[in-house]
Amino acid sequence: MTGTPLLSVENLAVSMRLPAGGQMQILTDVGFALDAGETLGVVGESGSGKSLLSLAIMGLLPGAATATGRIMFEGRDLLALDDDTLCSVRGKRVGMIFQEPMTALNPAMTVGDQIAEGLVWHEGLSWKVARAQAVELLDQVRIADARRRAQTYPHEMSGGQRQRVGIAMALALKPALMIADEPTTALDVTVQAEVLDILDDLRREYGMALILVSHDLGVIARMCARTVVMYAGRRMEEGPTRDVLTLPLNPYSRGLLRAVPKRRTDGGKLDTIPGSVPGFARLPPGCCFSDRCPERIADCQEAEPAWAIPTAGRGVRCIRAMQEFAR
Amino acid sequence: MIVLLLRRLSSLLLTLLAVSALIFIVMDVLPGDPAAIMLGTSASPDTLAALRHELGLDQPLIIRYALWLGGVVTGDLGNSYTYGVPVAGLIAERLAVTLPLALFAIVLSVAIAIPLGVASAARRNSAVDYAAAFVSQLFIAVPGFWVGLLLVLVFSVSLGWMPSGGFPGWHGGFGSSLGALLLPAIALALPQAGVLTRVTRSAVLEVLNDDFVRTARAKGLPRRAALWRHAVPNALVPVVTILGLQFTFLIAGAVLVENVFNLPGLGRLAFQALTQRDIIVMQDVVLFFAALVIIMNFIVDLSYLYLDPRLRGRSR
Repeated sequence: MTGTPLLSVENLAVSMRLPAGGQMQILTDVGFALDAGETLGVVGESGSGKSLLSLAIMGLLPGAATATGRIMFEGRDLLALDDDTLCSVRGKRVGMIFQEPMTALNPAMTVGDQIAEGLVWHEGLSWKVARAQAVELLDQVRIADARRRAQTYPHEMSGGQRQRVGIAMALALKPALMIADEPTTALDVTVQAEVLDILDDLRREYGMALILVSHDLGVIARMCARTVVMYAGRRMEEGPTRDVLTLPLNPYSRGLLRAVPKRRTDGGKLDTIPGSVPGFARLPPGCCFSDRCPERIADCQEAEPAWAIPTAGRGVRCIRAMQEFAR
Repeated sequence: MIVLLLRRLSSLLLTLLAVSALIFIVMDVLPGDPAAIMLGTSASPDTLAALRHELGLDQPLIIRYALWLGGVVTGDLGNSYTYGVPVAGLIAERLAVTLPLALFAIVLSVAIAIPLGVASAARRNSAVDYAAAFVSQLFIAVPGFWVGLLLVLVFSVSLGWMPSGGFPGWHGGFGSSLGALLLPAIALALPQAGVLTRVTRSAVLEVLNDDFVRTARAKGLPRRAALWRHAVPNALVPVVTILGLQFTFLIAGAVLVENVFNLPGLGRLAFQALTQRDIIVMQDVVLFFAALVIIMNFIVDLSYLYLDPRLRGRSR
């Protein structure tokens, strides 16, 4: 890494105000850095706080959430900016693709106008010019007959097409950073591959950095150079995707990997991680994974393990992993 | 789309036909013989019979209904028993007061309710929201004609700013006519605005949680733009539905408010016709009101197609 990274998340913590009163911390000590053009996968089970992380970077946390720490992006701390200034970053420098293509588009506006809107807003283009650019963008996300399709409404499109519209919207202003939150989870497998291809091609073409949030290790492996594994709002492990997938340090990452379905000839049963992600109110003492961890020792529940860097380019939160590394 | 329109149009006509039959039967059962009322108690049975024959009242119900309906279809609404002039002319003359009054009231009610409802949804549980809730509750609780009396007391009797009633007629100047309609329109609009504010608030609140509003924010739109460009248009279907329903109440309310403000409108015409047993005028005016309401519902249905593109797809 040379100079300052494009995005550097430091010590990010997000807590939610509960309706019954009191606060509940969801994200704890999240941190990573991303250079221009780099790709980072964020992987974890549902409820691990992945989506909240992407919303925090966008500055679109729900009203009940408060974030502390720093999110440095292009030299500014996004957490310290007021909403007006954030509006000039959102959509223009950071684009976001959402999970649900069915609900993420406005049902009462043509897709062309929804894409053009960002251009009108940020660049001050006339609607006529912006609409023409929207057609080009639709073409870039490989929607056939883009000129006609630009005038259709979201309900007239398939899920895959809608998600491509979502990509076109996020791409409109050629942002330096693209955040994709489970972009293909709601899609059929064949459509998934196509949408990922488009996303990857466009990212390369425009040299955009990408944060891809997914529970799907396959998607992450295909798209991202580096990977962060999250659990219960904490990063459990980080490193080059290949290393994390082949030599996982954290027992949680190993569990995730074992739970990926593979072609088997012996009819073996799919491994699972026993139990489910505990609610944030019912985390065990010490390590947040200690109640489900097959490799737990007594020390694991003594204190929360710190984030540690066993070797350059890798990070892990696990005392067992560090012990093993020391040997 | 065309098929849908034709289907709605034919059901509109059928409804009107049913309504006309209902109106005719109700008027027929209504006690009081128009001929007897016109001639007074001292009339001889012969003159009475002659007048009944002249008015066509001695014919069977079904014939009278057919004659009336035939007239209505060809634009001949008959002659008023008391005024002796064509009812169509009477309605047209009175409509020039009631229709502007109703439109004025609708415009006022929308102009109050939409900004207030949207603002209280956008700042839920804030002072604005509580104030809007209080005001709209107040508007709903207080009947329109009473608001009218109050407005007359304050602005006409005490302050002398506004006429207390009456209508100069449109030929007497646009400004003064509109001025004469202002207080009655406010009296009609406030209760409507109260209901509409609440409907708008809850509709916008529901849409604000939708994903596409967050998408709009992710594009870089400020809260305000995301609210007005994305949330509000998607919240309008329930608002327009209520607006259409309110039109019915507006017409019913016009009868009272026109009497309070002494406005020569359709409501007063209907009221006078009722007291004078001018049955033909009653029939025509009530049918006209019914037609207005049914047509309004038709327009509301059409507006759904405009507001929600998804409905257009389904009708194809």
